[in-house]
Amino acid sequence: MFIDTVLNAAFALSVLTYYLGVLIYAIPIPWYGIKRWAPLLIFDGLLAASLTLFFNNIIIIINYVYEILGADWETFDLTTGSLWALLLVFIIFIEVSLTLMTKIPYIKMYTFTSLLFTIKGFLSYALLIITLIITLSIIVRYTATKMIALSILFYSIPFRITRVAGASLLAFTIVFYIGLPLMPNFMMFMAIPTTIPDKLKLFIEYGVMFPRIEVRSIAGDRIPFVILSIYDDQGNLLARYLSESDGYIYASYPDKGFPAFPKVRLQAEYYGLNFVVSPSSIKPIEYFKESERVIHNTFQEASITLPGILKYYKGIIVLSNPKITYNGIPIIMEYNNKINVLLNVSLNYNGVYEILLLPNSLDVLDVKINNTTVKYFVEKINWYSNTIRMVYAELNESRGLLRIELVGSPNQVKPPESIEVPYVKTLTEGRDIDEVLRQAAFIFMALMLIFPTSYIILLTMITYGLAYVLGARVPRIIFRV
Amino acid sequence: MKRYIDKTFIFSLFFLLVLVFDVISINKYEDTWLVFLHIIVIIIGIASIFFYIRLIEGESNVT
Repeated sequence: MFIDTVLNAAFALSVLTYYLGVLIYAIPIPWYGIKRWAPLLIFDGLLAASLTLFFNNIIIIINYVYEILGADWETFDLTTGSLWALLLVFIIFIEVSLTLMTKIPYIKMYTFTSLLFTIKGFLSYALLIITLIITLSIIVRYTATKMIALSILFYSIPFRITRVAGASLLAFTIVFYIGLPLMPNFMMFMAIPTTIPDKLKLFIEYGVMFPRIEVRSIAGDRIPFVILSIYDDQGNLLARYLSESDGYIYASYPDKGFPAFPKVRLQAEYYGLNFVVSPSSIKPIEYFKESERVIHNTFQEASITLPGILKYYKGIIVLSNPKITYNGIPIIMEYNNKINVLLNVSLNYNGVYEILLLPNSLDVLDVKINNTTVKYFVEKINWYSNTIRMVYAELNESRGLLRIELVGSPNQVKPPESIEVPYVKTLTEGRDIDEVLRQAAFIFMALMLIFPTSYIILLTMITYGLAYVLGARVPRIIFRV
Repeated sequence: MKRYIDKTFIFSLFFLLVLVFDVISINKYEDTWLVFLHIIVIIIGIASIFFYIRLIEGESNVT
């Protein structure tokens, strides 16, 4: 009924505009400039009359565009309603927590309280925005046809008095009626959904540990730059870590971690040689001990031994050859730029044996067994950016003191770079764990506040543009005296 | 008679016809202001048609 009346009046007014145009055109009044109104008014009158007659078509066109763009008021209701409820629950939760924290005298958590206050402020703003959008949507949805009729009425008032208001109202109704229900699509498009990768499911199932692992030789000294690979039962690589210069593997940083699978296999590499690890397969949950104090994020402690290495001393590796029986641990003496390695060995067979691994800065001067010089060979091994020397000796004595004289200054080799495969970082597809958290926080914040606000701003800009097109332009001055 | 038939004149007569039918169909007891508006528009319309005929007759040519 309201729409009928308004349209009737609008038609009458547009016809009035037209007649005024004709009248000004025909009437003999000697006022310079008034005649220019005549064609303008005739045109306006016809435009407004056709708008009035096309009222139903305008509604149909709007609905058509609404459908082909896939807009849906129900999705909009669900999204905004759930956001609103979520925000309200958060705010109530924070309010209750704050009350508990500030009113109960023996809980003093100043930092946490101030953080909560900040979050509460942010959430309140978000709630305000969402409420505004919901209110706007209700107004637009239930009064769209009435507003369009009213805008046509404004449009058809003579002399362009309320033409700007009419065009603005029409543009606002059209844009918001089509645009607002598309807001969930916009938000979902902007917040790229993060799916859970398969590896992450394993991570969730078994968990992760943050141990510090000590890598030792048989003699008990810690070995730096050992590459420790961790495999699962099927032989898939889970992680790979490098021991640091103090001989510890810090798998305790947030993006590293040790996979807490039921069973993992360990393998070590050093100077390009593969070494067996003792124990070669472990159950991390049982093997790792809880650390007594937290160093470098460490929560667990463990130690593994490389049975293939007898002793480590400043880059020198005394190999433990399974064909040789070693009586006691080797002794390494350093004096006058020379290093003597003393080994008490028993041999079962004659042959060529691998004895030592040396960094490039050391040279072999002599190899003696029981003070008799024996033949030896040096083989060069390239290991990342270092050259390593492998020393072989041809031994035929059954038992005795093996003495290897080395010259040069011992120094540590350069650690290989970027060979680590951090467990957690692999799971998060190359992103740091704090980056992932930051991203999640950003998406949360964006969903709550940034996307709705920016979308409303976008719609307002489109409304302005459409209003301009529909004729909300400032008319040129026509009266001249 | 032929010289009267131009588009402004035809539109004026057409709108006058529509307005008259409109004013008959309006519920006069509820929308009195609408009837009033229509009558004003009809009067102005008749006046404009009258002056337009005069313009075409050449009796008023003040521009």
